[in-house]
Amino acid sequence: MLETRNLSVGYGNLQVVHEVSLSIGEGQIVALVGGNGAGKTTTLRAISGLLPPWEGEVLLGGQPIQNLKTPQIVSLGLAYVPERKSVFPKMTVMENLELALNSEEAKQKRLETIAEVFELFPRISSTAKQKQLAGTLSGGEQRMLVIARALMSRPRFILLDEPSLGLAPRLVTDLFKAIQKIHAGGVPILLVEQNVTLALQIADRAYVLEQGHIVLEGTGEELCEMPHIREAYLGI
Amino acid sequence: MDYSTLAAQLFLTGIFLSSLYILVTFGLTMIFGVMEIVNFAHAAFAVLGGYACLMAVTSLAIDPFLALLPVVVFMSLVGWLTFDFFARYTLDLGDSHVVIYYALLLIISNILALIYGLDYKFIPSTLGYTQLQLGAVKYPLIKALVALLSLASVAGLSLYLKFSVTGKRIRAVSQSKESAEIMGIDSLKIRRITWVIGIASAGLMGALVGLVNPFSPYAGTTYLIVAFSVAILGGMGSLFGTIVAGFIVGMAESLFSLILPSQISPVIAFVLIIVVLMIKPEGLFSRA
Amino acid sequence: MQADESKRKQLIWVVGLFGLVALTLPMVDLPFSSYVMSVLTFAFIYTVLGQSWNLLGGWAKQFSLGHAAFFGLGAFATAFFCNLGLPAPVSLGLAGLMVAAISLPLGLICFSARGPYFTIITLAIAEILRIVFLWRPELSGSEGIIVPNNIFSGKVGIYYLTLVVAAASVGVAYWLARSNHGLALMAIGDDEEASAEIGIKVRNTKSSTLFISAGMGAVAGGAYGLFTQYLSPNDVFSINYSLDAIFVSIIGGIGHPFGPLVGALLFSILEETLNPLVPNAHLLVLGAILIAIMFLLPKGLVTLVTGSEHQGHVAGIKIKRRQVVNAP
Repeated sequence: MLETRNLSVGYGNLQVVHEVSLSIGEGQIVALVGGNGAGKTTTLRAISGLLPPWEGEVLLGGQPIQNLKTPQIVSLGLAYVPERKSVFPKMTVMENLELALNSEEAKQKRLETIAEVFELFPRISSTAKQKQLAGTLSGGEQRMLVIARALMSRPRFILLDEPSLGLAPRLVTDLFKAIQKIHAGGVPILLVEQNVTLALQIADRAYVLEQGHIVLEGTGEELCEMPHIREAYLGI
Repeated sequence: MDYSTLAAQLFLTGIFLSSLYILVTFGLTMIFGVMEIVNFAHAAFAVLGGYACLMAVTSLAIDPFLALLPVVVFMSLVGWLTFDFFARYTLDLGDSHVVIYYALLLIISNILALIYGLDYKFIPSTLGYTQLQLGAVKYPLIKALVALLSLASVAGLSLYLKFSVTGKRIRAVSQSKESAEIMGIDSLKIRRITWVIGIASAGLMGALVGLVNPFSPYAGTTYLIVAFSVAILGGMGSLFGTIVAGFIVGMAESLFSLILPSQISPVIAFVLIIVVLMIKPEGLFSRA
Repeated sequence: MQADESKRKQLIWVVGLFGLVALTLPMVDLPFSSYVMSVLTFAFIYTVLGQSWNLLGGWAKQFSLGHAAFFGLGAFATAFFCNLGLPAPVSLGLAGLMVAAISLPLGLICFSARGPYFTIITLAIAEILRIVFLWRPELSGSEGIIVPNNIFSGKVGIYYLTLVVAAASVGVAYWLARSNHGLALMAIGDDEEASAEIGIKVRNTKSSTLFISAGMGAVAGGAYGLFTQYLSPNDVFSINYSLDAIFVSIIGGIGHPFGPLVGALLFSILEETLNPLVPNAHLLVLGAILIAIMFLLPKGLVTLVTGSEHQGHVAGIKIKRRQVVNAP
């Protein structure tokens, strides 16, 4: 479904991602884990078109997208949920959601999608919440809104960047339950996470990124067993 | 003249000035919010609007208030062309873009000077010196109409931005460019329409001013300073801020005109700019 | 490297030749040499003004629209000292120092803002000065100020004075480009935060550069005053001089020591030929040239001779940056 081949990316003179090859198949959740500064976010930004790749290819459904601009990539069905707060702070929750309706399909299925989204994230679904300015929501609610917003475009593929970052543990559990439900709906997800335990629990497969290189690859269970992982990331 | 009449006069003058300042700054601040461009040439477009109105009135022999419509259409076209052939290429220049936009100001001003000469022109109006009687106060009808039209335009634009789909997209891009990109909101289209609205509103302001004050090709520099002080005080990119700051600056100027000689009044605007930039550079309100 | 070396030699030849012609011009008595001297005198004045802007704008990317402030202050200060009876070069020097000193508190105001806000603040300050000088006859004389005659008042005298000053300004720029101070400035222009992180004292560097820039701008204004011998605030504090400084630097070669010289020559020629025909037409042409240069030849006309990599992207600074970013 989504594939990168020998992707290399950097900022200015600094290379951050070195020949990374990933593949996420139909209906899979694949995790990309690694420590701070490993290059995970940079990889996602390159896939979504926000950063021009230095080398390599990105293929969405077999089609090369590495040279396309972000709006084009988005119109092909890729949704990117960044790690930073990226709601539109002075617009209401509902307006934030509606701004994502940019394709004909999305517009037609608007009511259906809103219902689904509110079922996934009941916290932001009340009538009062809908009219609240997004900038005044709590951190967790904003994170949910950003994911919900990505879903409004009825994407064929989702890039999730560190959804648990900075959230209280209870919220994180709720969030990951929601992610699993989204996955159950059949949409493939590339999940970038620092919380390796959680990531490996829900992922079908995972890659480990260190200093911009893929050092390990395997199913969630396989990786959980590996001593390197257990020591470095799971604290066991 | 007793104090209440004086106060009323000052108030009306203040509203009049504010309405024009808000209108001209609206476009400037929108362009900054969406495109990150400080449009030094904004005032030149205002002056261009003034001359366009003059041309419309003299060649089509219509009432200047009716001429405003073709002026807006013309300025929108100018906006469209300047975006597609100039502005869109300046988006990646970074800080040095200020220089290129100042060059644009010079080019427009000097082309106007070449065509029309340096003497002051006035847009004639059938309303002449008719005065409105508001209680004990007299106020020129034409100024009242100009103020009303300015405020109505600003109101219209605000409603458009708040409630229309494109308007919301414009605000979204202004609040978070990257999020807008990620969501597939087409940046170039949004920037184009923002620019066009900005230029057209500047032109409208210039035409409205021309009805009341004589203008020359270099009059742009005076409007520019005021527009900057309003934009900076209100917060570059904030439309609400522009409205609030516009009223503050307009009223302040009206009041100060009593105590200060008129040559000094630009200094007030400049000092205001300096003080705001030193204390709270984001201005009163942040981007909306 | 070979290409670089030969380009540098080429540049030195061109400059050397020009310098020779410039030095010997007044001695040759051709019918038009008086006119050429005028054009060159203005060019030299603009060179100094351009250099002063270039230090901040070309290297540190602090785009000032207020250099007319230094120009005007320098002009009035020079006139003041001349009227006290001091010889012209001394007046010029004192004026430069005085304005440079004034620039220090002004710098505190200006540097509290960045990017386009810095530009707006500099414009505001220059305009405030213009209006205040216009308003207060004690400062500007009720009908302007006259600079008394001195040995430099003749065409030849002022020509050589401005030649020396222009050459000095190029020298200062050249020396600065190769000094640590210059490197620091370029780093600041590249990335101010990263520069601060690697230990560059950003505020101090900017202030000391402003000091030199103000002094240079003042000398340019003073030379102008000595040339025209009559000063009015609307003239010397006019935003036109701020623009001249920018045009001359960007068109000639932003960040390059010879840039303002090249730009000033073009500027002066265009001004002298076009202005008598249609007032301010040269501004129109120069505005268009500026836009063209910014898109087509962003490093200025100098690149036609030097090739496009003349500006201080010193490998050393970039490597240091990489080290900082890579640190855990």
